[in-house]
Amino acid sequence: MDSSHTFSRCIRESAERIAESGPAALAGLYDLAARRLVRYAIAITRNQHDAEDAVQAALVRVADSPRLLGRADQPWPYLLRMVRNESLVILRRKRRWTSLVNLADLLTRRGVDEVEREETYRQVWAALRTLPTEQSEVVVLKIWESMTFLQIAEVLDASPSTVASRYRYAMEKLARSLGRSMPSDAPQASPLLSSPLRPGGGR
Amino acid sequence: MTDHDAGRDGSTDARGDREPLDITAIEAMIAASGDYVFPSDDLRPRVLEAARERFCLRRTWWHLAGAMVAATLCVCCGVSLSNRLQARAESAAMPRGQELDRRIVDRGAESGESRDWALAEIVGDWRDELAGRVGDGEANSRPTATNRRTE
Repeated sequence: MDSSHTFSRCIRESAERIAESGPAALAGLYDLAARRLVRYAIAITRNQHDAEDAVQAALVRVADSPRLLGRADQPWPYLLRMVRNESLVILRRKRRWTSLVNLADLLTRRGVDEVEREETYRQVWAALRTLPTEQSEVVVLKIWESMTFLQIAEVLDASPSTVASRYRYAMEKLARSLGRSMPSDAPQASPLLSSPLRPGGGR
Repeated sequence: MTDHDAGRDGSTDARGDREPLDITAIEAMIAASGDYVFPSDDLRPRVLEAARERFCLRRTWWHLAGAMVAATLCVCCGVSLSNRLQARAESAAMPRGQELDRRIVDRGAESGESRDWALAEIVGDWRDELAGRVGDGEANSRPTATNRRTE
């Protein structure tokens, strides 16, 4: 069973607790998923405040009808889809001008041993913001959520081959932009992420 | 070689002066920067408060809807009962005016009595009828005005 299924089970349990105990139990779901949801919403809205609004709207909806989430086949992709929908609504409502490389809206945190990596992180986030939303959200779901192309396709309501293509183009763009801006001591690939890029193939 | 081709095969970037990174290294960099951004501190209480307010609003709405349904039922029952009582009261009322006059004339013509006796018998019959409606057996067994006179 992959991590997505395990996480989905935790989300389902949280939803069931909310259904039993009321909105006070929403804290458990928040602690479990908020960080990942905000991260995903930022990839869509490109603004932290809008992303947090989207996550808040989605979680309030969950508290309103927790059984919908609890009965979903895959609660985690279902929740991601809720956040995506809320993000797109906010995005449509607030077509605002934003500088693509400006990260001033982001709230960041780094450990004491990560000072020298902070610049890398900032470059990565800035590079992600230069991608079209369709590509950046695929990257977020693929790398940060460790989802397969098939799972991502379900979240985005697109075909797996389309998702794989978006991912490939995104990585090509990121490779170019980060290759220009990164120092030579870039971190090495982890075994988890060492799968080759193949359009149409899931992990 | 185009810029696109350069990115795909990993050779020198056409516009840059540095080679593009390989895909696995990019994936590792992105994975490492995933925890760099975090939600603001006030998001958690904001979400919980919004959910609680929505819950209270919804509960209030349900209570209000329940009260409105109960009130509607009460009004319907009240109107129905009132109509029935009114119909019953109207049917049990002593005849008046022209209706009473017509009955007196009919009764007088039927039994050859004077108007006064005819009125007395009509009133007596009306009282007996009322007693019967209430379900008073004793009233039912009481002799009518006509019977009393016969006796």
